[in-house]
Amino acid sequence: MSSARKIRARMEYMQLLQQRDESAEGRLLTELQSNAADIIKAVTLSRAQGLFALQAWEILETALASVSRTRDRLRDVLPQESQPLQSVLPGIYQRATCDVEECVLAVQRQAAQADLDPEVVNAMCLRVLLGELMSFAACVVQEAQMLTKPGTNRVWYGSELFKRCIRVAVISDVIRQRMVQLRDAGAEIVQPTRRTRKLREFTWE
Amino acid sequence: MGVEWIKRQMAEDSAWTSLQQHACEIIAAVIETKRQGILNARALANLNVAYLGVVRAQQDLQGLSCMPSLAGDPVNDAHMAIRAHAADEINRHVEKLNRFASRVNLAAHLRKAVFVRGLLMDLMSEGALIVNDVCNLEALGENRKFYANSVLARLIKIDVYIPEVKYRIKELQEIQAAQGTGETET
Repeated sequence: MSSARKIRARMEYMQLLQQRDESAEGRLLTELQSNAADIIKAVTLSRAQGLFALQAWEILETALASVSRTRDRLRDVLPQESQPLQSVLPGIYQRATCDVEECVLAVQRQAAQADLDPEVVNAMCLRVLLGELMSFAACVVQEAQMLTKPGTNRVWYGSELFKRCIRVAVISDVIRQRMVQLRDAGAEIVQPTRRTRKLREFTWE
Repeated sequence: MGVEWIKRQMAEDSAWTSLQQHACEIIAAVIETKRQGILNARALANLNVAYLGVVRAQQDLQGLSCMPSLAGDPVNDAHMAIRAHAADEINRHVEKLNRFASRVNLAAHLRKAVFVRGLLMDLMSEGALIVNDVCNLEALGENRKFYANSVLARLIKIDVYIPEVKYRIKELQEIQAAQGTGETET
């Protein structure tokens, strides 16, 4: 390779790296991964401290709002073909809603065998839904990662990422509804400092 | 359901959650290196703390018999095979990168930096997949044993990757010190 070609190739390579990491897309994907990591953090925190730890809900709400903002901004930078058409969006939402309902029904079936109070069943459902949310968030991290790898199918991973974000939105709506139901039924949002006993009572005993 | 059973379930839940928490910390630490550069001291310290947390959670899970224990069985075939596979993957990364780098005549320290970046990204992937595997393991009707083994395989892979990352980063820091340049960014 002549030295002029070598220099040109080196420049091209550096440009490639720069494009990948410093482009709007690279930054937004990192942002999305960070939001998804916050969701995971919030769910693990709610598991460690109880379903109604205030700190966990604050982190979760912030992360969910950031996910939808980042998703909207990603629309401008990811390949057009990877973005779901307006005509198929209702189908994606419907499928996501059905999956969430199925998930809730499975918990309710199991709870029915144990003859549990409705509030406890609701708390169990909430816990399972949060698990699902965490699982989607982990997939978002992974799919965003795949999008940054050279040679991967960007249209496929882009489309999976958008679908996953829609699922995150759908499931978080259901989680919010259940939270309201539980609050109406008397469950208390607990401050991190005075959490333990009430949470244990509510979630397990 | 006896009290002992409930206590055990709570201990298992807590250990799996702890593993997810630390796996999430690995993800967060790698994201920080993406933002601030692969030699960012705080991100690397966080990565180390997260890794130690993962190891502790793994020990807790093995203590509770939630995952196959490898202690006292250093020649466990499956364990060795997974380690060898992880090491092979690292070697494949190196070969691929070397081929590419020699084509474009990439400077040695940049080659190393790109390699470390690749390892860190793989670590993040494994962190995300651990979180997901544990979610699957906890879902109703799923094959717990399958997912527990999958988590163990990922933990072994992380165990192979972390020393490699540390070693390569040390090399980069030495190059950086010798050159007297700023932090190496990729």
